[in-house]
Parts: sequence; structure tokens; C-alpha cells
Amino acid sequence: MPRIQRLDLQGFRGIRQSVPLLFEAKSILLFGENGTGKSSFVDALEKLLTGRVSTLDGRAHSLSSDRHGPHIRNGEHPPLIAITFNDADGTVFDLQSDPANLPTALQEYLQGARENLYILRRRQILEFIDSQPRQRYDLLRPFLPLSGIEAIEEALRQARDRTDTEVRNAAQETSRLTQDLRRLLGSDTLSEEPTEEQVIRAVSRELATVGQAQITAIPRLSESIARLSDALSPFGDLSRQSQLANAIQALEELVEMIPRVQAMSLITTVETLRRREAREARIFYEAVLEQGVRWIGEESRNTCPLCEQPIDTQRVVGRTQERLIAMREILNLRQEGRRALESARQAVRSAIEATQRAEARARVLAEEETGRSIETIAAARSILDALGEVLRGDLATLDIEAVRRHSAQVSPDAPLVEALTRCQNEFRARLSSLPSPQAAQKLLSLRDRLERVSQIWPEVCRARASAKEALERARAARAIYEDAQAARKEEVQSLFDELSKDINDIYVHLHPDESHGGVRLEVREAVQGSVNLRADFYERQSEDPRAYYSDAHLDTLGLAIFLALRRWYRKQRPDFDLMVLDDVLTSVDTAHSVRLSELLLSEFRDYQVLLTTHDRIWFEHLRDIQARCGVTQAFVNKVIHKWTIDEGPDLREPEDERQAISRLIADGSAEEIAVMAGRLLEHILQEMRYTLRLSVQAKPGEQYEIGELWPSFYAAIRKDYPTLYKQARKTLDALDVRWTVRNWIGAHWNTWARNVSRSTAIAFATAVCNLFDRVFCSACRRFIAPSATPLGQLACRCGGRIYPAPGKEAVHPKSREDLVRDTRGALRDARLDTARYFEWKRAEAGRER
Amino acid sequence: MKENPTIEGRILERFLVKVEADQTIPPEVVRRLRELCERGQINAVDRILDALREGVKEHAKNSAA
Repeated sequence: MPRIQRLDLQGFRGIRQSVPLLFEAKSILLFGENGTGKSSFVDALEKLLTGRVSTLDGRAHSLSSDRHGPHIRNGEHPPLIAITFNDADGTVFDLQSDPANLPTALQEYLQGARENLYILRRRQILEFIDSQPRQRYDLLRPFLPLSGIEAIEEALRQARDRTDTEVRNAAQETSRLTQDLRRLLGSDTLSEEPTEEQVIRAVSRELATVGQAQITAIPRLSESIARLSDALSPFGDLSRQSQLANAIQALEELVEMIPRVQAMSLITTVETLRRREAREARIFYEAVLEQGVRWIGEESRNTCPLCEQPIDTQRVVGRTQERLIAMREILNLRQEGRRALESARQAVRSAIEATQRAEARARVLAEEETGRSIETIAAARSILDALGEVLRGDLATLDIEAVRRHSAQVSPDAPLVEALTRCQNEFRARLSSLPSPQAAQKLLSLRDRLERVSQIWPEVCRARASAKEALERARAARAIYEDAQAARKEEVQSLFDELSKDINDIYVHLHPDESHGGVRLEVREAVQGSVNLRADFYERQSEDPRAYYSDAHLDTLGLAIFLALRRWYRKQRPDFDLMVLDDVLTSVDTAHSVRLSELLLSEFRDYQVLLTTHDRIWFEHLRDIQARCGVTQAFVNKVIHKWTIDEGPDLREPEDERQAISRLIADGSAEEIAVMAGRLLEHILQEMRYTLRLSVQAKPGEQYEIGELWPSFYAAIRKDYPTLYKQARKTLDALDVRWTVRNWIGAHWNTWARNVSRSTAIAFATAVCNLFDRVFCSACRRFIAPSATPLGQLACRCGGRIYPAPGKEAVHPKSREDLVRDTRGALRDARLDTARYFEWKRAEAGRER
Repeated sequence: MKENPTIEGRILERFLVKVEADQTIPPEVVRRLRELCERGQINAVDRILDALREGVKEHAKNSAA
């Protein structure tokens, strides 16, 4: 599995000169006081792996890692950030690298690193808790690879919408045919949805008026029509009259249908919609409005997020919400417009069919009888075709002016309708001029109408069956879509339940025996892609944790969520094991931090962690916890001794400096030896300042030099730790005289000091090395520190180097097991039972006296 | 269906269980949906519509019989 071997950076954030952070494929615990460049390493990792720095990009509109990432004194030089991996080739990945050229394992590692789910900074701890439900879902999105399911849901939604459209179309077709039927048989005899019985009754009534027998079923209608033809035969050839009557009826239908195609409702809806769209879109878009309200609300802004001018928050939010409502009205208008468009298309289709029928009936007339009817019907057809063509596009691209223009040609007072009516009247005049007795005319008209009924009724039945089937399909499609949504929500909820359990386990581990927990992530029922965070607090169940939890509890909850999510992400990408915790442990109190650290170092021991802290006491605690958790070998502990704007963080290890001095004593110049010895002495004194609690005159930035630390150190050893002084007297006294050598030739340029001999520098350096060997244990890699008991003893953590208290035997530090046993369980599992602890301390103090 | 450990696979299985239990969806449609899932074609609108048309038609025929 790939791991980071080293991170090199130069000219980025607080690091000007090249500084490597040597991971050696292990985890790193990095201590540095505030402002010493710890976060520069975190920023560099984030920039290189994700392309952005979350403390800059997206934090404020004026900040960006491209502009503000480079070191302020870096000039035009681009920053260098490079990771060297621990693979056999020591592959290097930097800002210029193309991941496609890297080995597959590293490509997968970098792919996993693209989503920033492994870096947590102190200020981000509450990010998940404080997010809006929708943003929270977005934060969880990388854990929910649902693009395939979303595509299925979208297809099912489209299928549902299309079946709904089919239902509407089928209903319109049924309605059109029914209207025709009612026109032929009389609307007073047929209901809005006539049954077969009603049609039989109406037909029978018509037949009775000409003395014909009633019918008992629609299929018998053909027999009645035949009987009517027989009844007409005595009147001779009435075919001309019949043809003219048919043509008149077809023209009647057409004249009735044409005004229906006027798309006035469509025009009105689309015009209203476009006016609203233009007015809203001219200034803002829906997404911008929603985002704006969110920014203002979440960031408690009193300035505009766009122009940064002061705003009256309440008024702006109120107005924005009004406009969002307006947006929703636009959506409704769009839906209404789509319905009106479909209805207009249907009307045009029906009218075109009517022209076809009218034309067919006009064509069978004798030439002298057709007059201008064929041309007029063709003109009607051409206008309807043109209107149909205009209505072909979708709502957004609909040419509303063309619709209006063509609609005007089919208005009731348009020349076309007038011309059709004229043709109809001409046919009527011709029919009345033909010899046709009243009785024959009645029979003829009835026969023609019944012929039409016999054609329409099967169409009505077919349309009804088709509408019923369309309704069945739409019902099924709706149920399928709803089932798909419910399945996704339930499965995501069950995933959230598992995740909640993980979060809860971590949280309860950190807060045992406390009456809260029950952390739960909930998919919001009403809103897609939205998550609620709930938790219990004493008898209050399922509340927003922000309502009752203290800040410290919210912090640990935030950390528990991050750790649970990190673990989940690892399940998806097992070969990506990086985790960065930038100064997050000190945000909670000591007892909880100890538990958190133990959890981190035990449960996440198979991660490569970069853990930073600005607290030296915590740094020491964490080193102890490493030992307790058996992960000492998995960690590299680094200390940033100091930081300057030009040199950046000083990360040198004391052992390295000690070895460098040995080499320089062999072949270095006096100046080089003095410089390196001075550095090591400064390093020793900085460490001892903390461990021996040296009294030093306070200085801004706490960047103390040898001259400020040495007198206090020397005095403290002489007075309080005589065993060490006795053993190291020669060295200490020599250094008390020679520490200034470093300043003469190492730190400052002094003309008078140019003649300081190499042997003087070597004597100074030898004394520094002797002191280092006395106060540093190479076994546990720790400096000596005063023991808790007995007073006056100095010892390293492992007991490898001990300077006993005067007149007392050396007391070896107790193992953790001994400590638990001796304190009768007061110190156990990093939890302190204070009553037992103080009882034990009192007993210890009594023994000391 | 084969056992599917991914969340998408689990959602799809849960979806099929739901449509099978749903009384408003004809079993003839459900059978076709299952086939589409197995063939990985459940994200194609036209195929879903075909399944609905054919399934509803067959259901009507079976009900009449």
C-alpha cells in the first residue's frame, strides 16, 4: 500500500526555503507553537492532493490558494510541493505531475485523495453539525455512490411523466369523439360519457321518428342503415342529395372545430410565463437566490455576499424569499403552459382530420357542385398545417408571435370560417334545389348520421379502452417511481443508521456514563438529498444536538463524525490511508482528549496520520499514549523549534545535530563547528526550559536564545539537581564559560573574533555534546525531566537515564500496569478517578515525608 | 438476483421487493421490470414504457380470461 515517504515544500504558505517533512512511511506527531508553520504542511498536502486549500479557497470570496498560497517573499517563483512515495522507485508527485503517468497503485491513491474526507482542522470540527441539511447530504455524497440509481430514478420519473401525458391525450381524444357523437344524436339524449345503452336508446328514438324498428345492439345498426336505404329506394336516385348532405355535415363539423384550434389560452399562459421569467431572470437566478439566503443565514452576514455592501438582513432575506415564491409560481406556469400546448396540438390534429373528411366528401360531388369548396378546404388545411408546425417545438422555443398570427386566421370571424360557411350555404342551396320529398330528406339525413355513428362508436370504444389502459399504465408508473424513491430513501437511511452507530460508538466511547448520545442521521422525508442530525440528551429524544449539547460535547461529536466518516471512506478505498488532524485534540478537555487520543492511536493505527498540536504538554501526553498503545514505532515525533519568515520552521532533530557536530569536529571550520554546536545547545535549552520550568524573562514570540536561557539552566541544575551537577560538573562549568563562543563566531560577525581558534570551537562543541549525552536518552528519545516522586530526581521516560535525588536511591518510572495496580485503579484506561487518585497521592506524600 | 453488496445493488433489490408487494402494479409489469433490472436496462425510459405497455396489456388479457 502506498504511503508518503516525505513531503517537500518551498515557497508555500509559511515556508520559504526548502523544508522536508520526513514521514518515512510512518505517522507523524508534529508539535509547534502557534505560528510556527504546522498548518503550512497541512495546507501543502491539501493543495497537492485536492487542488485547493480549504482555509483559503471558498472561505471568503477574496481568498484563494493560487493567490495567497505562495510565500509572501517568494516573488514570481512558483511554489514547490512534492510528495515522495515509499514505492520501490521512490515516485515523486508534485504540482506539475500528471497522475496518468504514475503507477496504478499511486493513481488509485491520488484518486482517493481527491475527495477531502481525511483532513480535519480545528475550525472545521463543527462543519458537519452546523451545516444545513442539504449541505450535510452533499458532505456525505462521496459515501453514497448513487449515480446509477439516480439515472434509474430519472428514467422512471420520465416514464411516469410520459404515461401521464398519454392519459391526458387519450382523454382528449375520447372527449373529441364523444362530442361528435353527441352532435350527431343530440346532446340532450346522451350524457358526457354516453353508455352503449344510451346510444342504442338515442338511435332507436331517431329510427322511431321515421317508422323504423328499434335496435337492440350497436352492431345491428348496419341493418337499420340498410333498411333506411331500402326505404329511400322508392324515391329514385338520391345519391346526389346524399353526397351533398354528407358534404354539408362534414363542413359543419369543420366549421365547428376550427375556432377550437385558436390557441388563446396557450398564448396568454406563455406570455405571462415569459414576462415573469424575464422579470426574475433579468436580475437573479433561483440557485443564486437560494445560495444567497443560505450564506446570509449561516454566516450571520450583515453585508451582501456579492458586493459586500451593508444590508438590512431581514429585508433582504424577506424579499429573496418572496422572489423564490415567484420562482415557484413560474414553475406552475410552465406546467400550465405545457398542458395548454398539448391541448392546442390535439385540437389542431382533430381539425386536420375534419378537413380530410370534408375534402373527401366534397370530392365525390359533381364538378359543378363543388364550387370553391375544395380550394377553401385546402386553404383551411394549409392554415392548420402551418399552425401545427408552429406548435411542434417545446414551450421554451415556441414562437408565440407565429402562433398568434396563425391563430388569427382561424378565429370565428376570420375570412376562412366565412368562406367555409359560404360553401356550406351553397351546398344547402343546391340540395334544396334538387327534387327531394320531405320524407326522403329526413330518411337521407338520418341514414347519413347513423352511418357516421356506426363509424364513431367503435372509435369511442377504442379510445375509451386506450384511455383506461393509459390510466393503468400511469398508475403503475407512478407506483413504480414512488417505490424506487422509497427504496433509495430506506436503503440510504439504513446506511445512515450504520454510520450513526459508528458515530455513536465513538461518541459514547469518548463520553462513557453520560446521559446523552443516540446520535442519528436521518434522511428527510419531504426533501430529496437532505439529512438531519439528531441526538438524545437525558430524557429529550431525537433533538438537534446544538439545542442542548455544550460546546465541548459538540466538538467531540464533530470529531466522532469525522472519524466515523473517515473509517467509512476507508471501506470504499482501502488503499488510501492518510488522515490529517490539524490541532484538533486541544479543542476538548483533557479527560476527553486522552480518550480520543487513545482511540485514535489504537483504532486508527493502520492509518498514516499527520497529527499536529500547538500544546507541548499534549505533545508529551501523546508520546506517552503512543507507548501505551504500542504504536511508538509507527510514529515519527517532530518538534518545530522556531519559525522565522525567511527560514520557515526549524525541524531539526537533536540526534542529527549531535552527529553533525562529530563530523564537523573531524573536518569542519571553526565557524561551522560553533554554529552547529550553538544550535544543539539552543535545542537542549529550549527543551529543558519546559521540563525544568526555567524562569526566563518573558519575550514576545517566546523565541529565546542561549544567552537568555543558559544562566537560568545552569543555576537550576546547581541548586535543585546536585546529582546531575556533580556528574556533569566539568561540562557544565566549561559551558558556563564557553557558551558565548557560539555568539562570537557562530551567530554574529565580529571582527575581533575572527582569530578564535578551531580548538576553542572544538572544546565548546565537545562540551555541548557531553551535555547532550547526559540529558538525552537515545533509548526512549526523550530528554530528562523531573520525576513526580521522589522530588529532586531527574529521569527520562524509560528510566534509561536517571539522576537520583540527593541522598536517595534511583526510582525507576512505573509501568502503566504497575501504576494501575498501585493506584488501586485510580488511573485506568486514561480515565482518572479523582477521589482515588488524591487518596493515593496523599498516601505517597506521607511516605515521602 | 445475485447477492449484491453495493448500496446501489441493495437499493435495486429493495426496489424490486417493493414493486412485487405493491398491489397497484400488475405482476406482468413487475416481471418485465425484473427482467430489465437483470439485463441492466432499467435506466432506459423507452424500455420501461414498453414494459408498462406490454405488462398492462397482458394483465388485462389474463384478468379477462
